[in-house]
Amino acid sequence: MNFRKTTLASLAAIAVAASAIAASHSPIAARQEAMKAIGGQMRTLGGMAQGKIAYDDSVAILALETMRDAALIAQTSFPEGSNTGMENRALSAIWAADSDFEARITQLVASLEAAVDAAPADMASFGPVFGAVAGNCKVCHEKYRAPES
Amino acid sequence: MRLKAKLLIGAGLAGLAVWFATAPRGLDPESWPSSEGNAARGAQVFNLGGCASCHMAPGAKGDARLILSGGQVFATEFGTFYAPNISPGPEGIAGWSAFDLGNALLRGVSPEGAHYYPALPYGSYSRMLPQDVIDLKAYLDTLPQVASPNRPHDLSFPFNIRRSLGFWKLLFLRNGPVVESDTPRGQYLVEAMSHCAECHTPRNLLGGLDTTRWLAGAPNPNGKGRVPNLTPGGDLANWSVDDIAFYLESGFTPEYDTAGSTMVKVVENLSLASPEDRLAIARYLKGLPALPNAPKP
Repeated sequence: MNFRKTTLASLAAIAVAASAIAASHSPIAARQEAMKAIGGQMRTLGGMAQGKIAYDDSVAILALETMRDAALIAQTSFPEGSNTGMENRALSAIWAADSDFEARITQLVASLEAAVDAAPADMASFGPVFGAVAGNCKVCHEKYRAPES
Repeated sequence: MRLKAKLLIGAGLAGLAVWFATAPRGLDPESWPSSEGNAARGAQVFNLGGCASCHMAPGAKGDARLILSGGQVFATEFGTFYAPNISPGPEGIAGWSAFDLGNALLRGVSPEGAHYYPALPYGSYSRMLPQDVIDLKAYLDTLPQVASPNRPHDLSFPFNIRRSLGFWKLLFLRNGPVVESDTPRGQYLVEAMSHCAECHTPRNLLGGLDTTRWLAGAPNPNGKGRVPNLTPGGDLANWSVDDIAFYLESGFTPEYDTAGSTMVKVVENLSLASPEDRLAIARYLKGLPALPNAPKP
């Protein structure tokens, strides 16, 4: 394990552990931490996808694993009606009868599991894998997250 | 008695003046080019102009965005607007010439010579080039016909009197550049075709854009929150030209948060535009006069 990989792995572990600790207190805090962890890894992966950071498969795969772990936490952190008590932007449409939120967040987790399994070795295989993951963000945010106030 | 007569005549003249001043004024047909439309270029105008966002059926995605049935509902402080059918069928724009479309987009005047409400953003489209309208018309004619009927707007007095829009146009309808810019293509896209100011610039009490706060952010017409300040003095201060162009293509901010609210639809349109056009928009925005965010109310 090289230095960068070790650093990334420990950062990832801290992010996930922090999420787990938060989860024991409040589902809102837990999912917010999980989303922050996902966003942080997306910056690395997006930079690679845009060619601003050189592609490094070990870094990319670790980032995908961290995102998968965070997405699993997020998936279980939206219990019915959990959008009160602290500032958050979750819309009650998430728990409405016609909601497809569950299917969408399951799709996010599935895309990340597939990405980790694919273990993209180079940019050519990374591109489509990344696209499949990244496409999940906005479809859910558009429908189930309130605008910033 | 004489005084009364004078007053009556005076009132009559004033009425005539008002009637004349508020008359819908279309484009001059003599100066309208007779060139052919290019549908492929028109498709680019369609995406850059964001036509689908308002005229597609509510919630349409992908290819369904090209079925321009209308029917979306826009609740405003002036009343409720219902987007019309602009498909090439009889309920839409069948029988329209490119000149008719030009009058609608550049002057807010219908083929029958009535004012349109500025929910159709002709306050921005007024700066569009005739050839772009001609190309757009050629493209719209290639799209599917839809039979959805149109629903009249539901507006409160005095906004339900279309003639009153003549005043609005006298006060606010302009077709010159708004700010100085060294990016002509970006200026054209932002100020005219992509009509960014319609949401990102605050309005006065009569619904006119406050050009002293050009693109400096505005209250969110759809409810809580605020439409972002696009000038270098505001929300995008730390964004590079590339960051803005990437956002318009992907919907991701530099922090990899995603576009929200109605901007999702704008990104859907602009992701189909050319990379050069997205960069031009970004360069224009970075060159804007820097204005701070408005203080929170």
